[in-house]
This record gives sequence, structure tokens and C-alpha cells, in this order.
Amino acid sequence: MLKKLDELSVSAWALLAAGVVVSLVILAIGENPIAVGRALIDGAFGGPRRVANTLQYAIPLTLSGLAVALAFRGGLFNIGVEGQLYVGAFAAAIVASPVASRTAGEGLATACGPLAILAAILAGVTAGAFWAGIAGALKSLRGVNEVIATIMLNWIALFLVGYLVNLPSFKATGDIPQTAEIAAGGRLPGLFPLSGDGAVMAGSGLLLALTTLLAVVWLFGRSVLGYEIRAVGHNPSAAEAAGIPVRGRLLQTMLLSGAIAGLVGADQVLGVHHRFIANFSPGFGYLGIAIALLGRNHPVGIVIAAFLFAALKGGALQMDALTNVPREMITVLQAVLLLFVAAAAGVRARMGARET
Amino acid sequence: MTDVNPPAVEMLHITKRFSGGVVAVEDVSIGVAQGEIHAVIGENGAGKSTLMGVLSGLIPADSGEIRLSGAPVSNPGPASAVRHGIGMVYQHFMLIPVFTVAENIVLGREPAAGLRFDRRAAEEQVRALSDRYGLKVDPAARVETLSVGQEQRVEILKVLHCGADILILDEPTAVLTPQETKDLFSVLLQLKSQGKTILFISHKLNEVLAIADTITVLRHGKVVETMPAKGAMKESLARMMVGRDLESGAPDPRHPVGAVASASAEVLLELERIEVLRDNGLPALRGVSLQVRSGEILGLAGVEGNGQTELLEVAAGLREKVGGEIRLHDGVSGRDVSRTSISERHRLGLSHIPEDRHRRGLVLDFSVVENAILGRHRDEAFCGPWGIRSSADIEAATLAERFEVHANDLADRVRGLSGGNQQKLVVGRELARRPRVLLAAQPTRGVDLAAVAIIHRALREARSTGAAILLVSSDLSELLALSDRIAVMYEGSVVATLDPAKTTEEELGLYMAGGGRSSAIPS
Repeated sequence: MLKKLDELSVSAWALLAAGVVVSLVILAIGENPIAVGRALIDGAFGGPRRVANTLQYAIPLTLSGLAVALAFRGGLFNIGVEGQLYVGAFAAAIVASPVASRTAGEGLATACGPLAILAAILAGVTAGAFWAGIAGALKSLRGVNEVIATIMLNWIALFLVGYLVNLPSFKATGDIPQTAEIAAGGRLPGLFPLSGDGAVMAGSGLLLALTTLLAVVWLFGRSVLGYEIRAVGHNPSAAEAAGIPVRGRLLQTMLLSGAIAGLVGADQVLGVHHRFIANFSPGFGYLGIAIALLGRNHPVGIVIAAFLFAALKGGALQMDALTNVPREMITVLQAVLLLFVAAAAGVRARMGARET
Repeated sequence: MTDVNPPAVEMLHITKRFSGGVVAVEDVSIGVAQGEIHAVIGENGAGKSTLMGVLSGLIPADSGEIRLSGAPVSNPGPASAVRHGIGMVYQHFMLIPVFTVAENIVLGREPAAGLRFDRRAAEEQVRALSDRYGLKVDPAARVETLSVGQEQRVEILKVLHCGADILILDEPTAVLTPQETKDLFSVLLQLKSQGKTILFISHKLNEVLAIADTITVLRHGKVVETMPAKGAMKESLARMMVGRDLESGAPDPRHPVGAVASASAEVLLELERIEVLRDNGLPALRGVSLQVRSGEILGLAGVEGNGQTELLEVAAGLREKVGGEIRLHDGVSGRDVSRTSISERHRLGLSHIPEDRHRRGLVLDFSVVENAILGRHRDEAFCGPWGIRSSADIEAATLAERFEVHANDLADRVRGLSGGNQQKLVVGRELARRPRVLLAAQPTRGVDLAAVAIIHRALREARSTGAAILLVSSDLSELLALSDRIAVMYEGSVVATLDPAKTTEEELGLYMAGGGRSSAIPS
């Protein structure tokens, strides 16, 4: 574990280097990098509401980072987290608010509360797993490249749920393509009751993320399934010779990865929007790839990376308001950071190859 | 200049250490005269390939100097080697299968007509070259349609097309049939007569004595002696290579060959009329039948590519067959395992030491511990309700001690271990299953002598406890030393089954070359 944490030093150096580059850009604009940094931190952590916002935003980032990393460990590149989370979100929404044409509050949710939440989460997870499983099955049975398959499935998912949400049986009254609002009893409760309106707060999705994190840590730390998934990821030929059913593991890896992606969608629906809204995701699935890369596919690294990205997002508005640095600078910072991480990983791999 | 005719190649005090302090070559000096065939011989790991890698610029030497025709090479590297007319013909050909012979040869120096590739000029160049050196090939043929021997000619032509005057051939005969070897030798003599200098790496003494003018023997990275080939004796060369008298096929004193595995011992592995197709659809195995009995090592001899690899892969469950049966016996009845999964075969007592440890035997990015239980990780001993137990650590430590696997830390990646240590880990792991049937493919390939001894001892121990062992090796002396019976494979069939006590490497070689077919020995 500690040895693997050592690999995170690459990311730490990359972060430092990216910080220097962006500071230079900020200086060039004529602003003070320290003041900008202070605005960022204030925006992300200044006050309970902001902390809660940052936490809430870190949940989907952590989960989609884990989804990508899990597949990575099994030798698969799941670019389809975005599509899987949409499918999962939609499934969770229709289970939580089955009949949208009626007024809000008459769904399953009012009837059975926590059970409905559980059913909705399960539906989201299953749907996400199913969507990833399509690519997984294609890969494992026909050898179809999962990168291509998941990218295409992303678009199919996006347009499919976009179509479904506009059907009369799902669409809420009004012009917006969204399902009816889920009744209070069917929502994920907030963890920290904040005074005031409480429109956005850290939800109990945090617990979902934490549980998933621990499950992934166990999966790759101790479990036999994780051992086999890693063996397949590193060397499928040797795994086959060792009697590991390679095709089955490939499919299961995708199913697990998709399940976590589906959880992202369920959390967004049940804990944040309280309904399915078309195009709700700001690209969580793609950010997950960046976070897995930055976190070196290590669960702890992913949590750190997710919080970093969440804090940057929270701080961006404050920075935009208080300084002359536009909030797009955050995207620049993230991009530069990833370039450094990718380059450092390449250098490291080459050094490693020379050693042996 | 006092020396009227400086040697074409001089390598002076070359030393190369690899990481981990392993000395590949140490203070090696050799001189190769213009227009001679100079053989460099030695066992696996003696430093032959490293030395040639240094000469061809691929491996930077730690110290030492290279002089070509008396002039020191100031900035060694692959490009500079090519510029100085050094060309290397690799053991594994580097050709593009879908390109024609001519296209492969001119690659990188394509004749052009304007912007267009001038195919006709390319073919003309190749034809001229091919006529000049007597290397017959069809310039318009696609490389994928060629035989191995022809591919090698293309490689040689490629090097000549680069303008090489000094040719290095790395174990050129390893993949050739005897006829192809003869053809190659006449090509080499032709090249020599045209003034080319040839460095010839081999460990086959007969070949070396047949073709070389000068012989340099390497052992453990040092030059033992350089001598003219004329008058050199095979036995003394062999002694120099190994540093002791070669016990050519001497039976193991503790285990008289053929004595234990009597015909009454129980058959544990039975292969019947196995037929397998290669990836290209041509037959790899044409109805092979074999029985391996408890307490017996059945050796499989054959030139690489005659079906031995495929046979073991079929038995291990790694390759599909188109016909025949594989039966594993459990003492009561034989069970056809043709459709049985690999893990189920493991449970039935089958173990497999794969031919390629990097591809099949190990997960290089796994730790020693993780590799030590690979394939056994679902055994109750290593796997509990909470996942893999710490007993795996103990198992790895036991294996490392018993098989002398030297690793700094059992949590380190196996990638960092030497080839010998990696192989000992694989052998140890497979034997730790206490297999009833062991498939061992090239168990000592590329490992040092100490590791060979450990692995041989382990195989003999497994035999004495009643295992049935099917052993594939390209090392004939290994086969003769270990086997109770030797089956020789040629073009996908078993052409002879021999008693190692009554045969010689020469006789084996004859059968391996397909020469035994006419002499009516039933398979």
C-alpha cells in the first residue's frame, strides 16, 4: 500500500509543476497568484455551505474515478462512464418516480421511503452495469476494442435517455426535458443539515462513495477476484495458463466498472437533482478518466484527485468574482496538470524499462 | 602504420555489466581478420549475444574500444555501425510479411522515380545482389509465403544491400533444417570468397568446425581461447565451453535410465491421435499419440516448429485441437479432458511449466508472492473468506528458499529478477502443486548452470515421487540426461521413440532432420 502511494509522488510533482506554469500565466495577466490562490481556497472551503458544495461535487468525481480505475486495473479502458451514468441515472429516476404524468409525490417513494431509495440505487447500478456489460461482452466474446465500443455507447446512451425522457409517460409537465420531481421520502437525505434552504448540500451519497471506495480497496488489496482481474490486466496469457477464466473476468471487470458508473447517476438523481434532467452531467464520466490518471489508479490517489478537482470547481467562481482571472483558468490548470502527469508516467515507464 | 593489414574488426577490453551487477562480458578482446569466418561459441549466457550487440552498436559497452580496419570507432551506435559496414542478421527475423522480398530489402533506401516508389528498380537491385552472391530468392514474392531458410536469405540480402562488409549472424542455424543449413553454409563461403568478413555465433560444434576459419570460445563473459578451426577438436572445444568434461548424455547415476518406469507402471497421461492446426490453417500436429507413465520422463526432441510446442499447449488446455483425445488418468479410469477447463485440469493433477515464462508463466508486474501462488490462488491454503491469506507470503518464502530464488524482497516485482530466478520460481510453483502429470517446456532455457542443476534435480525428484513428466527441450544433452524415453518429432508427427541409453545426439539429430523416416523404425 505504502509502496503504491509512492507512485503518487509523480502526481504531486506534476501538480507543483502545473501550479508554477499557471502562476506564470496569472502573472502575465497582471494578477497576483497568491491572491488568486486565496480566492480559490476561500471559494472552495470558506464556510460550511462551500465545504458542503465541494464535498458534494467530489462524490461523483470520486466514484467515476474509481469506475475508470477499476477497469484500468483489469486492462480495460472504460471511456463509457459518462454513458453508463446517464443510463443509471435514468433508471434510478423512473424507479423513484414511476409515473411522471401525475403530480409529484405520488410515486413509489411516498409509499415506502428507504426501500424506494434502495430500489432506485439498485436500478441505477444495474443499468450502469448493463450498459458497460454490452461493451464488456463484445470485448470478451468477439474481441471488440472496448475503447471504440464505449465511446459509441456513450452517444447511444445520451440520445436514448434524451429520447425516453421526452416520452409522455416519463416527462414531467413543462418545457424542460426532465422527469417529475421525486418526493422527499425518496431522496437521499442530506448528511449535514444546514440552516436555510438547503438546496445544495453534502448528501448521504458521501457514504455511498465511501463504501464503494472501501470495497474497491478490498477488491484490489485482498480479494481473489481482484487478484484475478489484475492478473488478466497485466498479462492475460499468463492468467489463462494459470486457469483464470480470462473472458469471464473481462466481462466482470466491465460490469463492476459500469455498476460504479451507474451509482454516480443514481446519486445525482436521488441526492442532487431529485429527478432526471436531460444533459445534467458536466462530464463526470470524462473527468473520471482524468482523476484516475492523476490518482494513478490508486483508491487513495483518486480521492485526493477528486477533492482537488472539486475544490477547483468550487473556488473557480470566487476567483472569477474577486480577481481578473477568468474561471476558464481552472480548466487550463487541469489540462496542464494532466499533460505533466501523462508525460511523467511516460518518462517513468521508459526508465523502468531500461532498468530491467 | 607498421601493421600492413590490420584486422577488419578489433574489439579491445570490452566490458559490459547489466543492472544488478551481472557481468555479461568482461575484458573481452577479439580480432577478426578481413575475409574470414570467425565463430564465437559458448553456452547460453556466455556473453556471445552481448558481445555482438556491442559490435553492432545496439548495446553500449561500459568500457573498451572497437577498431575497424585499425581505426577506432569514436561514437559507437547502431547508425555508426551501419555506416561502418557492419550488418547484423538477427535470430528472429525482422521482416514485414505482407511486403515483397524486394520491398523488404530496400526498405529505408527505396529507389524512387520522382515521388513514386520504383518497384522495378528495387527488384533489379535485389536481383543483381542475389546473382552476385548466389542467394537465390524471387524478388517479387511476398515474404509471408517464404520458408524460414528463404527468409533468412532475405535478411542477409537486406544487410548486404545496406553495404555491409562485416556480417554478424546470431545463431543462424537454430531455425534451419539440415538442408537449409547446408545452403546457408555455401552462401557464407561465397560471401567469404567475395571478401566479406563474417562473425558467426553458435553453440553447435559440428557446424562451427565445418565452416569457421577461426574460433573464439567464451565462457561466463570471458574469452577462454581463440584458435584456428583447423586442427581444433570437438571434445576440447566442448570442455572449454562448459569448463568441465561434457557428460554428453551420461545417465543420471542415481536413476538408471529406463529402469524405473517399467512397462507396468500406470499410464497417467495419454494423448491419442492429436491433430492441431497452426494459425495459418496448416497442420501442426498430424495425429500424434503418446503415453506417459508414472515415474517416467518422456523427452520430446525436435527442431523448433515441428509441433512440440503445440502438443504441450494442447495438453495444457491452451490450444484448440481438431481431432484426438487427451486423457488424464486418476488411477481408476482415464478421463478425456479435451473439453475440460484449465483450472479443472489443474485439479486433476496437471501442472505446466510454459515455454515462455514472460508470456505464459509469470505476471511480471506481480510480486514474487503473487506469482508464487498464481494458478493456486483459489486453493484453500491461500484463499479464505476475506481473500488471499498471509499464508501466500510463507509459501513464497518456502519456494524461494527451496529453489534458491534470489529476490531482495518477496514484495518486489518479478520483472526485476534475473531470468534464472524467474524460471526457478515458475518451476518451483508448478512442482509445489505435487502434480501427477507435469508438462515441462524448455524448463532451463536461458538460465545459468547453477539454476539448471536445481531445476534438473527438482524434475528428477518429481519423477521419483511418481509424476509423469512430458519434457520438451531444444537442448539435446538435457533430454539425454533426464529422459527415460525420447520421442522425436518431425513435421507434426512422432517419427521415432528412442532409448536414451542406446542413442546419441547424432542419431537424434538425424531423426530431427527427418532423416530417419526411411529407416523403418516405427513411431
